[in-house]
Amino acid sequence: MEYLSIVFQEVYKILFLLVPVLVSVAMIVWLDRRVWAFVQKRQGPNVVGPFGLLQSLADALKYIFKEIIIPSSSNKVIFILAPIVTMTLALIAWAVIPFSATQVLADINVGILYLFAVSSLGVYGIIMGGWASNSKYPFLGAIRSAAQMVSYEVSIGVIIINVLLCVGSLNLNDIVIAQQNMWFVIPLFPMFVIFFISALAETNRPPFDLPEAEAELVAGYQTEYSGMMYAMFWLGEYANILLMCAMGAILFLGGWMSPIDVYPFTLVPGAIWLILKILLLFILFALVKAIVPRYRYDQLMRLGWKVFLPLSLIWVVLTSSYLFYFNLLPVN
Amino acid sequence: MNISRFFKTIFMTDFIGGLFIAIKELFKSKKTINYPFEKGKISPRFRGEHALRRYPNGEERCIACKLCEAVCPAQAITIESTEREDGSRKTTRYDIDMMKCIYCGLCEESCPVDAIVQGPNFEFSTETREELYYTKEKLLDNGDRWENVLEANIKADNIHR
Amino acid sequence: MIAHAIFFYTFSIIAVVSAIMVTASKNTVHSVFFLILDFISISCLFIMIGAEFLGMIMLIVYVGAVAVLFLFVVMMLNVAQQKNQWFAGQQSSKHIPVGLIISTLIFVEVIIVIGGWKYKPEIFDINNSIAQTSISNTHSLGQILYTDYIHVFQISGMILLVAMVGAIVLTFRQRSGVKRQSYIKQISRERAEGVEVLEVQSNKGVKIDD
Repeated sequence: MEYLSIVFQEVYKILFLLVPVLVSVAMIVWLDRRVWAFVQKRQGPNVVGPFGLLQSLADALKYIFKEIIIPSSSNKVIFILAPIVTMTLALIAWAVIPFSATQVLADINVGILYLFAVSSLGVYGIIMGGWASNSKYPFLGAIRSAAQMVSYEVSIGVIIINVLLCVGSLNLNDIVIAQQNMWFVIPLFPMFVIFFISALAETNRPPFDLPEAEAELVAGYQTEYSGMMYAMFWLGEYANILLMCAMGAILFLGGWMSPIDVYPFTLVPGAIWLILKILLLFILFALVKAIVPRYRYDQLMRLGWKVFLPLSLIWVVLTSSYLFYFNLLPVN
Repeated sequence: MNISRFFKTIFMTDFIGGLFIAIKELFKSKKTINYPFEKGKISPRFRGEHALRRYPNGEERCIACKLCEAVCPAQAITIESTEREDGSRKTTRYDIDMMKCIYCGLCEESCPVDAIVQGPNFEFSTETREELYYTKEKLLDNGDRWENVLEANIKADNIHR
Repeated sequence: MIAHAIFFYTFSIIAVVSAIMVTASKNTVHSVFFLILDFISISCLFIMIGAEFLGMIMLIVYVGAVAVLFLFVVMMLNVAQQKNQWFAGQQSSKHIPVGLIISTLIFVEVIIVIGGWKYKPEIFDINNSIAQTSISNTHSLGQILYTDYIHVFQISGMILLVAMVGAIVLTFRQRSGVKRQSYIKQISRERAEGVEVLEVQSNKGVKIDD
């Protein structure tokens, strides 16, 4: 009986995290479309609910009532599995995100590695969907995204090493607390920029949305999907974007800590600061979508391997020599 | 590569400039309208849904000359006529297949008595194709409903004829 | 403890079954997916014994990178033909004896390793194991890897680097007569180089120099 109560408590905690995440994913889709529209001097979605806030819910309702079409020549099991994998992976990563010093579902020792691992698994949903559709455009999209996401993971990994050098721990809470005096965005600003661009590539956002480039590949890996399965891809994609924003906020913008350590600001709970930082990064994501054209595929690969990887590696050397020379290496 | 270009690339000045332009545009007034609730201005010459007009005394204008039927490039108009007791020629049937119609406005232009006109209404989508097969009753009904606007439009356009 | 056992057996059964399915499934792409499942359940097992660093590295390196490249290659193959002509007996199976010999060898080696560990406890001193120390196993791994075994570690890194360079050298070929785009040229184009504003006189046109 005691065991059951523990299980129920955990399930309650998980629901308390996942439901807000899913709701905020719906809101973030609205925000994305709205910012995009505003930059282009359009209205954006503004009909359903106040300011169109319920637009995503209306869309979700529409998707639920649409027919799910499974192509007869597709590989059915993998075809159905792909959106489930995408969405699950996007959601399980939230387990380690700290909303304050105590509010974290799983305060594990290797939190940042877990985040990195889960975000690197995200490519499987896309590959599975693209391959199982048994159709040309999805397959091309899947091949592109496999190469793209693997390349940009490398530079994200090296950037994480940069941060870890300054922290000395893989625990996300430790990473946040290490930024008490100065956010890492200041000393590691070039790394922050590279992280941001790599995160764009990792989540298939414009200008790196080659896996789903409408002009060339119809909708890439999602071409054969319809109804709720398409909606799950869509939810998973935006949950991944939110996750990347959260990762950026934790690694570089001080996570749940208030920007200034003075009295009225410290009263605000950490979760709100984290959400504000995530929102700031997300608005940047949305703005970037509006202002840059899509990269050519070879340019994308060049940027990943020939620019970002060497730059971040050089920065690892610089950071570690600086820390070593001034004897600032974190020891514990 | 010259040196200023090099620094521009390194510090992504083009990108940051674009970002600032985007942020500036974000707060400017919107150029689009909120369509179903707000509508743009429509020219008096707008070629929308068809209508058959009447004289003020209630007599229908159409004299069944079939010029519109002849000029219609999509052959969307079908007219049958008969002679009435008072000796005037009137239509017994005046159908426009709105699915065929290309909204070129030639019928309106060819009409000697301003009977068939194209009004400002463009929101007449239906759920079935059958409903888009307009009969004489429907067209006359349209004419009665939009008469004020149609008359004003013809008057406004008169100087250009 | 019961929950622990349940999780352990779930993951290990999944690992074993998917390892068998890797070789048994008729579709090559399915094999790779089973391989991924195998990697994931093994990393879960690593986490269960308290080696969370190894488990995560397993996920990142094997599942996140290596298996993606496997999939990448396998998906390019013609799967319809690949549906194992082997099982249908269309192809000769000369490689079965070789495979059997190698797998028997590996099996024997594994038995020797496990036997040595079980019956000669001083090979792996259980008191030094990470579970009993207060520091996290990331720290303890680092402390061993970068002190006692630093040379081995560096040499293995060097070997990987040499292998990578070797692969590039072997597959790289310089093709002449291929039109290529130069990024530097493309990026460094200035407006002044590409655009010229001319005063065009009426009925004269512009003479393009060539």
